[in-house]
Amino acid sequence: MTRVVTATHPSETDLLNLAMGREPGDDTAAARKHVDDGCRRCAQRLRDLSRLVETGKKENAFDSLLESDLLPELRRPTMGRTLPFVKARVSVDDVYRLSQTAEKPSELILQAARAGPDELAAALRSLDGQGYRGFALLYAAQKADKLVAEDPNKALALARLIFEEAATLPLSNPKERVASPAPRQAVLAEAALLESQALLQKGEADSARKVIGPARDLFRESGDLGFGVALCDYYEGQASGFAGDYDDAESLLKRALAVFSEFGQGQLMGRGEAALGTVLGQRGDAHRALGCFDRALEFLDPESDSRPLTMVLNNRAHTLARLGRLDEARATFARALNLARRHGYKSSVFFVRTGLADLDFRRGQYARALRAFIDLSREAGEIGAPMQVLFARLYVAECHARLGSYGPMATEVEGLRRERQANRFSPSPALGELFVCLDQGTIDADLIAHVREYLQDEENGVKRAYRPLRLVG
Amino acid sequence: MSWIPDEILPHEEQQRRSPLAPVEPPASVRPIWDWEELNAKFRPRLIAAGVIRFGLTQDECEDAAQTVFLKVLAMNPRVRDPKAYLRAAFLNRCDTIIEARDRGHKIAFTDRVAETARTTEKSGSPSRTLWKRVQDCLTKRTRS
Repeated sequence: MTRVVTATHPSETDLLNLAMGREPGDDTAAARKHVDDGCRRCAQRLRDLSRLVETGKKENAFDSLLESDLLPELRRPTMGRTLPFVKARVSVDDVYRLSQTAEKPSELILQAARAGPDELAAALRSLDGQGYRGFALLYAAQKADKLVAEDPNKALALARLIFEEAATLPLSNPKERVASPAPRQAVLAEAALLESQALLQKGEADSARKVIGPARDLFRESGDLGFGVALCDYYEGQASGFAGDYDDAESLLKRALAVFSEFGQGQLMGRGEAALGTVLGQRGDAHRALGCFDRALEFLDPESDSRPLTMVLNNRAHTLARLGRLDEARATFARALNLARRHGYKSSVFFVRTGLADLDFRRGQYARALRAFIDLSREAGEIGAPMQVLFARLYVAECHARLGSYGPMATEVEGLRRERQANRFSPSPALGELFVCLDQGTIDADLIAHVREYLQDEENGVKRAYRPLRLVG
Repeated sequence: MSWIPDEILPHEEQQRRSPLAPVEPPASVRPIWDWEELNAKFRPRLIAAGVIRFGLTQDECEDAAQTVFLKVLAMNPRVRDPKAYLRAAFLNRCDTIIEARDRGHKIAFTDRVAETARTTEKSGSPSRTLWKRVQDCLTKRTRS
């Protein structure tokens, strides 16, 4: 006979109380009855919660042992195993010393990678026959993220060379006690992660994603305990975000964050939250993006993570500006600016100043914004950043138009037309409409704003067909 | 307003930068690990906690500790809090050992039932005997 189960399912709290065996109240008793009456869904929920409670209890007990002052005495086995049955474990102290010896050579590899291919080849050859070679290659791949920021092509070349070099390293055999401390698979996996970062930096998001698949397999083969795969999720999540696959990006980054949290690596959680915030910001979910940036700020240290912190503050300020919280945005930009100036991050200062000028523009302070964007346009030209030049000049033209200075506005747009080949938007129909309207004398501030917003969306990876302003209305 | 990418590049590199390319923040200043404390104090505690809380043998826990210590060394530039890493990795390792052990028990049980069935069939015993022996196996398993 089919059992009749009440339609109202017990709350999570009641089920949790039940799972924890807390004092039975009316609600807990009702929850018990509901489960006993045969609600399969709630029975499953209760099983899950019970498992969670059990794990929590075990981990708490585990932690109390780890933190206790006294080391519990363990009973030695009465019949200890004797040779030849005991397989010797490699001394962890020896491996630590080996890894420390590899620190300097790994830095030298990075310096050589910056210097050029000949220097890099020489640095790699200097490792031949050295016991720390595996560690040096491994650490070089892990530390090369700075090189990615400086020159993705050199980082890519380094990743591929490390990949080749790793071919002669011993394989990992996780089942054996005498396992290689820096096995081939681990070095190959790290090289693949580096390659992915470099490709993403070059703007090849799809290629960057493809590289991660093999890296994930290599980590597993090397006996990964979950952390390596989480790193793969993190990098793939970033790449997916920039490839416009926001759902994938979000789920990968969340998965990575869960593991970083489990492994207690705050700085990686900060970076993961920042990456997730960026993805959410890209997809236009400013509220959730703000939450991520706020959490990222809690994890990042102003001294040791000053650069990512500057980035997070900068992006947080942009998000606040999007939400119309302009005063908070200004205060956050100010923090970012202070940090960037204190640490000498010139490019960060440039971007923060762009954000501040944008705030003036949003507030309708066009004269002030105009002065700032003129300076920024000139500076962007000096450092050879054509995209920044394009946007700064569009802002300058729009400010002129809003201030009623049509002559300077036309001059600015004319200047853009002359230099349009310098940026990748030169074939864009948006710019086409702008120049046609300039010739026809129908150009105005609204058209410039329409073109700028379309190009900014495209810059942020939002793919949509351009609709001329006259069709939009 | 333009969305600012994850990382901001040095001036000289902006030219090469593609508009949306994020950059992993450079490796930050790494705190130096207190290796002596990790190896001499934390490691025996991990082993003891594994033995006491998970009922694993000391040998199994020493293997697990060995694995996670080698792993943390392989991730040195990425790991800022080695104790937290070691704790989580060790717990995962203990779980894996327990799962493998449970799987082994299940396989051993299945093998025993199959062996019983084969013997009963060879000796030409009736199916009732076979059923009784399988039930015996089940009873033994429940008791254990």
